[in-house]
Amino acid sequence: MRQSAGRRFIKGVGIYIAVLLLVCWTLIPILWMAYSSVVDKAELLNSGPLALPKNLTFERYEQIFDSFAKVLSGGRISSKSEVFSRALINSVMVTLSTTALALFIGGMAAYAFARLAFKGKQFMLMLAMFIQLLPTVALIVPLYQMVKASGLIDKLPVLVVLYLSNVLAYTIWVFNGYYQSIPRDLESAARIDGCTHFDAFVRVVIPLAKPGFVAVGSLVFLMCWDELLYAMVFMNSKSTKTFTVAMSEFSDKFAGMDYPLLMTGGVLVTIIPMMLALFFQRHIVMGLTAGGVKS
Amino acid sequence: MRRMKKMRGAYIGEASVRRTAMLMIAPAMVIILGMNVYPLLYNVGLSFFWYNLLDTAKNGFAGVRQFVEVFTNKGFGNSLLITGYFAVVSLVVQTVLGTLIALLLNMEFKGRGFVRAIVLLPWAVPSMVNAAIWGWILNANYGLLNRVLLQWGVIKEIVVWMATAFSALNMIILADTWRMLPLTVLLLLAALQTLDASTIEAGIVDGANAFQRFWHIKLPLMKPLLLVLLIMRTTQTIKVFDIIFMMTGGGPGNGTMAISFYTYYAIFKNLNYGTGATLSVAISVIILLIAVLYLKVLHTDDPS
Repeated sequence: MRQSAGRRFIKGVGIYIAVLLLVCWTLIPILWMAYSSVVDKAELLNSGPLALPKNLTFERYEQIFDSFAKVLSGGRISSKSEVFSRALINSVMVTLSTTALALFIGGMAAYAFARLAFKGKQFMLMLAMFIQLLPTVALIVPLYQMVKASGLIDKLPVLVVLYLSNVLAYTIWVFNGYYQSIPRDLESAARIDGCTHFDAFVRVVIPLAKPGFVAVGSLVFLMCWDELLYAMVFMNSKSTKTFTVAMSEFSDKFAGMDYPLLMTGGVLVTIIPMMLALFFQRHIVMGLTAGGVKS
Repeated sequence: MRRMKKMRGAYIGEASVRRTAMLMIAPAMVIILGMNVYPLLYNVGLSFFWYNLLDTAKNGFAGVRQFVEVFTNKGFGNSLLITGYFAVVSLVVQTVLGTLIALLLNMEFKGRGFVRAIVLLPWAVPSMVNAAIWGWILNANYGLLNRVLLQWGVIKEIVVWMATAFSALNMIILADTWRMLPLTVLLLLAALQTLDASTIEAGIVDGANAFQRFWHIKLPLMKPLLLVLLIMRTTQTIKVFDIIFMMTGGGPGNGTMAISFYTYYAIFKNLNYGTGATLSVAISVIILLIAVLYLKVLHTDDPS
C-alpha cells in the first residue's frame, strides 16, 4: 500500500515512541534494583526528590562476599548476609543437581514414551500433563507428613527429590513432544548396527536433541531456582535454607524489609537466570511451546 | 550368523521392547507415583476426615461434611473471587498488551534485535526478587513511584499503595504482569514469524488495512496458540503464591488471599490438615477440568 511521506513519518515516530515506552517499562525496575544495590543506605532511605547519588558504595556486596568466605571456611552462620551466602550456595547445589537428574531421568523416560510401544502409555502421558499443571501447594499436606515421619526435614538431598517430583512430569511431557520432531532414520540405522534402544538413546538421540536439552534444562533450572514453598516448608535451619527463603526474611525496622540488602542479593541471584535468558532465548521459547502445540 | 541373530531379535521384539521401555521409565515413574500420584490419592482420602492439630476434639471421620464446611466458608468464596479477579484482569491485560507488543516487535525498526533480546529479561528475574523490587518501588515512604510522582507534582502527598485490599491486589497484578508479559510477547512473536507471508501479502493485495489484516488473517491463524497460552496462564494464576507471600502476606484484611495462599494458610497457620486436604482436592479438580479442556484444544485445533 502506498503511503504519503507525512503519514509514513508519523507512523515511524509512533513506532519509536512505543518502543521507547516498552524499553523503559522493561528496564526501569531492573535498573532501580541495580541502583539500590550500590547507593549508600542513608541516601536510599530518603523520601526527598530523586537526585544523582552522592555516595556509591559496594559495602553490601563486600559484606556478602566476606560472608561467602566465612561460610565456606565453616564459620558459624548468624548474620543476614551469612544466611544469604549459605543459602545461595545451597540453591546452586540443589538446582544444578535437580536439573541434571531431571534431564537424565525425564529425557530417558520420554524417549520410551516417544519411541517404544507399551501398555498404558497414553494414560501415563495424560497423567504427566495433568500433574505438571498442579500447583505445589495441592500436594504439600501428604508430602509434609511423609518427610516429617521419615525424619528427613532439613536434609538438602530431600529438597532435590521434592524438586524432581515437581519438574519430572513437565520434563517428560515436553521431551515427548520434542522427540516426535526428530527424524527416526539415524536411530534405526544405529539399531540395525546392533545398538540396544538404550545405546541408541545415549549415542544418537541425546546429541541430536541438544537444543531440546538446552531448552528444558534452562526451564527446569529456572523453576527450581525460583522455588519458595517447598524450601520454606521442608528446610528450617539456617544452614539449609535456599536464597528464596533467606530473602523473604530480610526484615528491617525502617522500611519493613531491608530493601538495600534485598536489592544487592537480588542482583546476585538474577545474574545467572538473565544469562540463560539472553543466551538461550530461542531455545526457551521452543521449550515453552514444544508439547504444548502440535507442530 | 550375526544376521540370523538380528532377525530373531526382531522377531522376539515385542516383549523385549516392553522390558526396555519399563526400565527406561522406571526411575521417573517411581518418583511420579510416590510423590505425585500417592499424595493426590492421600488427599482425597484425608478430605473425608476432620484433622485439625489445634482442635483435636472433633478429629475423626467426617464424610462429606468437611466439603460442605470448607465450601460454605466465607474465606473460600473470598479466595475464589480474588483468584478469579486476578486471573481475568491479568490475562486480559497481558493478552491484549502482549499481542500489541508482539505486533510492534514484528515491525521493522532500528535496534529491533536489541529490544527483542532485552524484552525477556523481566521473566528471568526470580519471582521473589520481582516481589522485592515492586515492594521497594511501591514502598510508601522511600519508594521510587511516590518520590517521582511527588517530584513531578502528580500527587501532593504520599500514596500508600498497599493500604486497601483492592489496591494491593492490583499492585500484585502489576508486579506479576511485569514479569510474565514477556512470555506472552515472545510466544506470540514466534507465532507471528511463522505465519505464511504469502497469505498476508494476499490480504495486502486485496486492499485490507493493517487492522483488517490483523483481525481477519493473523488473529485466526494465531488462535490455537492463543488458546494454549490462555490455558497455561490460567493454571499459573491459580499457582500464584510467592508474590503474595512476599508483598502482602494475604492482607490487608484477607484481601489478597488467593486460593493457593489460602490453602497454605489453612495448612501451616491454622494447622488444619483436613481443610488443607479438602482445598487441595478442590484445586486438583479445577486443574483436571482445565487439563481436559487443554487436551480438547490440542486435538481439535491444528495450527498448520
